[in-house]
Amino acid sequence: MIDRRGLMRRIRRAAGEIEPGLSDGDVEALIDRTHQRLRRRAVGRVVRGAGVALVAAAVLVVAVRRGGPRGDATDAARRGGLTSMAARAQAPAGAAAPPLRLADGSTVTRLDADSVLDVIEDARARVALAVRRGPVRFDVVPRPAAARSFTVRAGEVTVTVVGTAFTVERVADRVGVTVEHGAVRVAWTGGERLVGTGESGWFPPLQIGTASAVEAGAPERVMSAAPVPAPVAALVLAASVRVPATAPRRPSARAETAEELLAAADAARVAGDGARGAAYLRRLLRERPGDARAPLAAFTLGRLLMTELGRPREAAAAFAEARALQPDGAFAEDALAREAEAYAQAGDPSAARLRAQAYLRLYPEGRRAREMNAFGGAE
Amino acid sequence: VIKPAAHSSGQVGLRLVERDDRGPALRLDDVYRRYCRYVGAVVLRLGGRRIEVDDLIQDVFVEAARGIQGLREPEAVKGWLATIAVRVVRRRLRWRRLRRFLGLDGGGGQHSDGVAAGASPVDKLLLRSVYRALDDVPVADRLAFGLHVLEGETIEQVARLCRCSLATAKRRVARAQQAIEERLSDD
Repeated sequence: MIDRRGLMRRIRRAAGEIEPGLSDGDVEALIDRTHQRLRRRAVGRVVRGAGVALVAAAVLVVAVRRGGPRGDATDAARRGGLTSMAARAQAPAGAAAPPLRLADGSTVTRLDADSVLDVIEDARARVALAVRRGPVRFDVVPRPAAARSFTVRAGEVTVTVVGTAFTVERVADRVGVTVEHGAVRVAWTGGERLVGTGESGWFPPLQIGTASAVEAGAPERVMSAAPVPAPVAALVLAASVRVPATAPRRPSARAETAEELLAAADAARVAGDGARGAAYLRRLLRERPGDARAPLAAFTLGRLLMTELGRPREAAAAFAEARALQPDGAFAEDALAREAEAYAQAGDPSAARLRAQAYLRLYPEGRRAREMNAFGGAE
Repeated sequence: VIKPAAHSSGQVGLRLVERDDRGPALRLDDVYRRYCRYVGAVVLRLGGRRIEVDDLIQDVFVEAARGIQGLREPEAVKGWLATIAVRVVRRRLRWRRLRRFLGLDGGGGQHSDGVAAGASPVDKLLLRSVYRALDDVPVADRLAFGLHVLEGETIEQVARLCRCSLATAKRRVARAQQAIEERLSDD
């Protein structure tokens, strides 16, 4: 039986965490793109009439001149278009960029405006693609392996396809593969694994903790023993959180990337071990303070200390570090508000008031302005 | 040391700029800089997909560019943009539904992609389940629920933004809530 009001309260609180995370650079880029669209609209209105006439004339000319079979022209265009196809794939277009149609009829869709894809080879018998960054979805037309090879490289991971729909996402040196239907073979230096319908995973498998089954290429299992509060415990199972079969026990002494440390911290938190999660995050901050993810780690650490571990004074320091690492970053505003909140929780109202006043000075129309007033920021 | 951002949503003042032929008006770029993040958060909470946010923000401001000449009250800008955002998201959700009906909608990323960095993984999972449930409720119900529960608007404001009566807004929110509860119970 679900506690209705409690559930809606929880959803509302969780929704407070939804934010697009736009940096100032992102905002400027959006303004530029919007102006381009407005200009195109204005120009389009003027030339629309003339354009229709021109297109009609062009169609007429092509119809008269075209002598050879249609396939020749298409193939020639495709052969000549390989470079431009790659360029198109790499162009920083918007998130709704149209899918690329490949020579074998398969389609490729970048799921993120920042995704970068190289088309290395595009022929009926052989397709070779490389994901350089971000998530990319592939909808591959089924063909016998002997008739066509279809491979996607992402870093040191190679995905070989028979006929399926799947997504490859590259984040730094980690590659996520999600298969909607069909199956793909994922190979990396030192191992390979078949990923089937509905399965997903990050490759190469994390090499933290003891020598794990995942490391050897064994399938991941669905987390089932996470001590999380009801009714959310059921959701954890329903959402099929996949974590390594051998959860990391403590921060490993081996060198790991910032991405791996963040993932390990997340897995520890899902497993209800906030202290271990905090240890991973502190280690990231200690060993990789210059990494682009360090501000995120500091911010996450602050939240963890405040909401899960009940150590608000340490949380305030972590939020301050998040701001110090990236004063103009996407977290800066929220980190400052949370710093004020943490000091208030720690029983230090004067420090909370100072932070609240700073917040209102910097972000008078900010999302947390009302709360900051409550901390005495309005004085 | 608290260092001010180069520009952030709270820092851009809005003022009327004198124009030769059309009288004083707000500058689109000023409005954009000040409210871009607000609009982004609204369309993300209502739409649920991070990869569509850039497009939706542009759609909102392209529409805003048409009407900005008529605005004289800087205080009214935020509510006006919210109205446009709801209209734009409604259009997108209907388009998404049509694409799904035709088998063309591939999902467009995970529903928790837009959740703030550092958020609890449990909250991310909860939101993912909520958005999955919302994908199956009528667009009007989804918008009302999104505005009331996810965006935190009052029922009166929901009715205004959705251009419906108070009773209809309440009914829509309740229907969406019911669908979510049933979905979560099933899970």
